[in-house]
Amino acid sequence: MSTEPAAPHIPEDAMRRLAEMRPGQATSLFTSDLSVNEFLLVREAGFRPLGLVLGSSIYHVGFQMGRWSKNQELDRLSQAMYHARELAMSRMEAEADLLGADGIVAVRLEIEFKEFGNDLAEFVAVGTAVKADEPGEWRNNTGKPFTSDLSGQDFWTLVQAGYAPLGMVMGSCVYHIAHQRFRQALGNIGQNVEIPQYTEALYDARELAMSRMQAEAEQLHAEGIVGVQLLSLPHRWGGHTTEFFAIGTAVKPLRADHHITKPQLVLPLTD
Amino acid sequence: MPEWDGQGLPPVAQARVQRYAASGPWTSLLSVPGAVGAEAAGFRPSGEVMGCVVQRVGWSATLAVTALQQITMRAEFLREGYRATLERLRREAQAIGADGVIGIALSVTPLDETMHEFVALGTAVRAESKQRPGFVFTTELSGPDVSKLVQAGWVPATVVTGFGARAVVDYNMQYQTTVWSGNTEVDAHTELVTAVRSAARTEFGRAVRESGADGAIVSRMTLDSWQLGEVGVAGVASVFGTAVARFHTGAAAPSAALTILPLDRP
Repeated sequence: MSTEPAAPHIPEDAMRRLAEMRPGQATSLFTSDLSVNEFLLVREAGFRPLGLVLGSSIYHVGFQMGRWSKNQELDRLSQAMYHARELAMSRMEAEADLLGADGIVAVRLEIEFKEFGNDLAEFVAVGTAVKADEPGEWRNNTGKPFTSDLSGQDFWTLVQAGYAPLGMVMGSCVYHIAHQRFRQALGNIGQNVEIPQYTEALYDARELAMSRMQAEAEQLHAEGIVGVQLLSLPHRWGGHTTEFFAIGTAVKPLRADHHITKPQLVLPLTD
Repeated sequence: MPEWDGQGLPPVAQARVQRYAASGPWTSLLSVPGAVGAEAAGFRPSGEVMGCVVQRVGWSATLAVTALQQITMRAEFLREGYRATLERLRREAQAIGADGVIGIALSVTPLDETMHEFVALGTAVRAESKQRPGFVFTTELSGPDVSKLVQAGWVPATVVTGFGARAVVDYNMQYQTTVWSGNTEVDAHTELVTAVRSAARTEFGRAVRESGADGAIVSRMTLDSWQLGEVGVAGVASVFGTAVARFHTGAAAPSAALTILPLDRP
């Protein structure tokens, strides 16, 4: 086994820096929620991390019952999911704004239902506020810092390819799927059949979530949406109710050509 | 074995340091990529080191303590536990002549209802340099991560922690959390999580500033909250990370990322 020996000045300089460290030196201090890979790539993409930013909201989700044999959106629950996420995101954006950030990268938007209390959920948005080394038009058309849920790696690639993130866009739909009528269930015993109202319900709910996400992207005048995740989150609403949640990053072109250097192919020797 | 006064290292750990000085082979908790990574950055493992402390949560049923005092004590308990654990780890590393400890794993295990064991395990390394750092640097980052950072001109300085604890009482809470209250933000809970996280982050930021480093990479954030009856809520938050210092001069880091496409995923 042979490894490239470190350039001799590297550990030397590193140890000297540690030896020179004094408490409370005036530096432009940052904190970041990025992994080492992400941190280095975000720097390389020409951005400086300013600080970890966070917004949260604990929300009481209202109560709504779907009709037993009807496919329908539970609009009150949809609204709750929307509103609470919006609160968390806007608080995070406000923190970034205070730091004078151009954008927020590697945003995680998480929901945790609390063990105590009825229908209490914590919505939390965490990311790293960044500022571009070279000033430019990074903020989106609402004047807010851009947000992106892409990893540092994806963000680097996106910027290299001549695109800029505009903002995270999302669509949510809480849907009640109809139960089968008794006679229908009886008739289906022992047969392979499609359950049409189920198929239709899933189509409907997904379509509603996706189109809401697209509408948000249109408001930002985006060219497209990348890194879309389409999730079906059952939360704790029971068997026939589910949340369809679509989330992605709306992007705009920075320049006309979108070429990146052809990546080198490697064959890793690990599993 | 002599009686231990609680100062410095326990006798068993001291004996281990002496055994280390007498014998040749070194030990390491690093994975193969970790060891190769550390070597590429100019660090050689000198031995695996541990810091450990068993603490009791310091309130009893006989003392009249309020909920707020209890959780403030809880945060203090975590703060002191991690501090003592990392300090012992650092001492052990110093005793075997190391410059730093990498790949530290921190854990807390409850032994019973009041006693908790704090453990920090890591691999002590020595830099291949004439310059010594002046203190033992510590980091939770793995060997490959340390390697990437150092080669890009950043050196890990110290593990940093921040803790926050609060209790909030709000008589509106009972109206905001009934089945009939509809969609609404719950003020007491939101205020609490915002306040405890903010306290933990402020403490974390202060610790980074006091260390003299240039910034910090957060590794994890935790939040525990629970209800106090019908009208109150209490919580403890923590932030862990590594303070990093920049040693490259000039605007850009010396290394450049190479774009590769691994051929191992479908």
